[in-house]
Amino acid sequence: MKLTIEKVTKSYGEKVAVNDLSFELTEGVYGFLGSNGSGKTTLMRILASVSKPTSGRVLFDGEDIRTLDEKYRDMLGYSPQHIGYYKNFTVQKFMLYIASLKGIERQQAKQKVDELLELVNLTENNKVKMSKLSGGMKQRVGIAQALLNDPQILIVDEPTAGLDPKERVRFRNLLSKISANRIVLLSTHIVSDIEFIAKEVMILKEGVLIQKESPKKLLEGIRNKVWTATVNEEEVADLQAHFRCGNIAHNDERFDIRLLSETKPHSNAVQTKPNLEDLYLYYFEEDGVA
Amino acid sequence: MRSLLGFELYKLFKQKMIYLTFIGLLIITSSYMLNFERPSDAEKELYSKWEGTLTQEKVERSQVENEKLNVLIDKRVEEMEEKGEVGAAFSEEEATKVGMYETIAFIQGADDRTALRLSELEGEESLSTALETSILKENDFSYFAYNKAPREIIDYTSTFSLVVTGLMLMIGLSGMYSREYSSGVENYMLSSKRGRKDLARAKIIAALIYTFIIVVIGEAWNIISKIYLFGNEGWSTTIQYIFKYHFSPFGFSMIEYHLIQLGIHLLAAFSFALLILFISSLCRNVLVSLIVSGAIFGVPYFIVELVQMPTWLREALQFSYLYIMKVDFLFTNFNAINVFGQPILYPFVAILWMLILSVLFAYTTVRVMRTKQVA
Ligand SMILES: Nc1ncnc2c1ncn2[C@@H]1O[C@H](COP(=O)(O)OP(=O)(O)O)[C@@H](O)[C@H]1O
Ligand SMILES: [Mg+2]
Repeated sequence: MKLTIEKVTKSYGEKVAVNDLSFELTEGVYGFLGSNGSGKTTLMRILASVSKPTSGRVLFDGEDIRTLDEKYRDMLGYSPQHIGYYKNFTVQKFMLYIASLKGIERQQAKQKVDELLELVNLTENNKVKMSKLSGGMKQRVGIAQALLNDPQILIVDEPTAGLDPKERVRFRNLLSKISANRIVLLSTHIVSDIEFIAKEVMILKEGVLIQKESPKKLLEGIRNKVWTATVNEEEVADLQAHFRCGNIAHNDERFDIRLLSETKPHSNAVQTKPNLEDLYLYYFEEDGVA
Repeated sequence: MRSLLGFELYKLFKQKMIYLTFIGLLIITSSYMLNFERPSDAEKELYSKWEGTLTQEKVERSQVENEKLNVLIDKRVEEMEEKGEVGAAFSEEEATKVGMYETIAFIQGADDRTALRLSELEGEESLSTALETSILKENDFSYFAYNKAPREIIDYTSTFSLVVTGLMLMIGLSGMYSREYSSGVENYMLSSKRGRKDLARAKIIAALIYTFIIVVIGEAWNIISKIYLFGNEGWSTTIQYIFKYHFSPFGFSMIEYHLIQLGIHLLAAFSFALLILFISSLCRNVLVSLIVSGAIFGVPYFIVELVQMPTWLREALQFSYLYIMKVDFLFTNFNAINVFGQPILYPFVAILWMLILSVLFAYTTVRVMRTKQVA
């Protein structure tokens, strides 16, 4: 099973949202990382066949997904960034509706809907109107509907946006449960979402893919560049002016600051083990450097 | 497919708006009936004396009686004026009689005109002469009966029905796709196996079922209310009894014409429903969808009624949804279009035109949805 993205570009007028992307995906979880507007949603829409690339194409096992048409969509589960729904539909009715869109027989659909609502912990809420659900519950319905046809390709756009930390943990557990034997694509701008479950992290910036590596490899790349230092208030301002700085923690009169630098940034700075937050900082916060 | 259709119907009929609008429209378009009086038994009794085929003898007798009555009434009016009295110069019964005699003369006029036109046609050699002759030859308007109910029913179908049907279709169907777009449900639709082609087909069928139900309920209301008021007589009299169709070459009985009228109305409604669905598939906003459909429906009417233009253009504009749903202009005069030297009657042109548009819009909608992208 292989999804090939071949020179895919998508422009909206002057704006190039996705710029000449080429890469390949096989079974496993892929995390799309990128700030707002970096092109994650645009790319996922193209892969979900709800949007067409301006140029380039997407192949599934060597065949253009536009030729595969229904056959491709039959293998697809897509949970969009904003979970759309009809206000007066209950959770169960909504799920049954999506099941019918996916061409699942009524009897089988009922069973599948129950099963999936159980999986996402919404069995109790199946008679609740969609409009009455919390953000986290809606996201879970989003995942559940995407799984109705047991898709080989699962695309989930920003599933953790608007979730509280506990819900995020629950979501990660859910995702690791369902990710076997599928190509799973997950976009987020929250690094911890994918730190442990992603086979590869793909970093998008202004529509360009700037990294596609396992989290481990990516972290190795910035191994000697992460520092922590304990400094006073003036020095904080000075460091922030010259380096990309992450967390700053108040510690009595002094501050613990985490920052990126090729060389030792301060006399009492010590090197520390990088995490994906640093990686994010490394790729996305360079504008902060004077 | 069946469950897709089921959901589409569910979504359509879950719209509370349509019920309020439907009831409101039926009440408003029927309020004129409050002015109607039910015919008295005596009135119907008088009519039944004259009911049946109008022979030469009957027509002449009615003329004689009518003159007598008129002389009598004139005299009474004079007397009343002399005495300075005010009030009715004639009784209910006399009024009914005069009305009846005049109707007999009126329908006799249509018969005479047919004969005249037929003799005119004998001298003519135009493309449609043979066609017109063959239609006129069949005509026989001589059956007389009380026919208020069918007349009113036919009148309602060609006036208020099109308002009711047109608005109900626009309100019910404009959101069929637009609402999927604006709610974000399009994402599931367009990424699912059956959410493009099959769903488009399901929506088409659902729209047609909705249309059928609207037209049938409107018709039921029309029939029941008129028959309740005026009884069920007169269906076999011809449409020439209705002033609008007095010059019509088509000698249909009221029942024949009403069925034809209803059929064409329904066909045009089906076609309009498909147009609305097509427009909805292009509009992300329900209101825009509604306004565009409304404009396509209403604008030709205002142009035709308000703007000066050559006859051929006026006739052409009448082949728009509103007028074809109104039906009447197809039958009020002898009108045919020459297609490859073959005269085709307006009603057939209209039917063909509606069928072509229906197929076109249904097909295009499916095409649009096959390649649709989210915005
Ligand atoms: N329908 C659209 N019309 C115009 N511009 C768009 C549209 N969708 C996305 N964009 C632009 O493309 C860029 C990428 O957007 P998006 O893919 O939504 O990014 P992300 O999901 O990473 O936040 C943004 O600059 C956005 O403004
Ligand atoms: Mg996005």
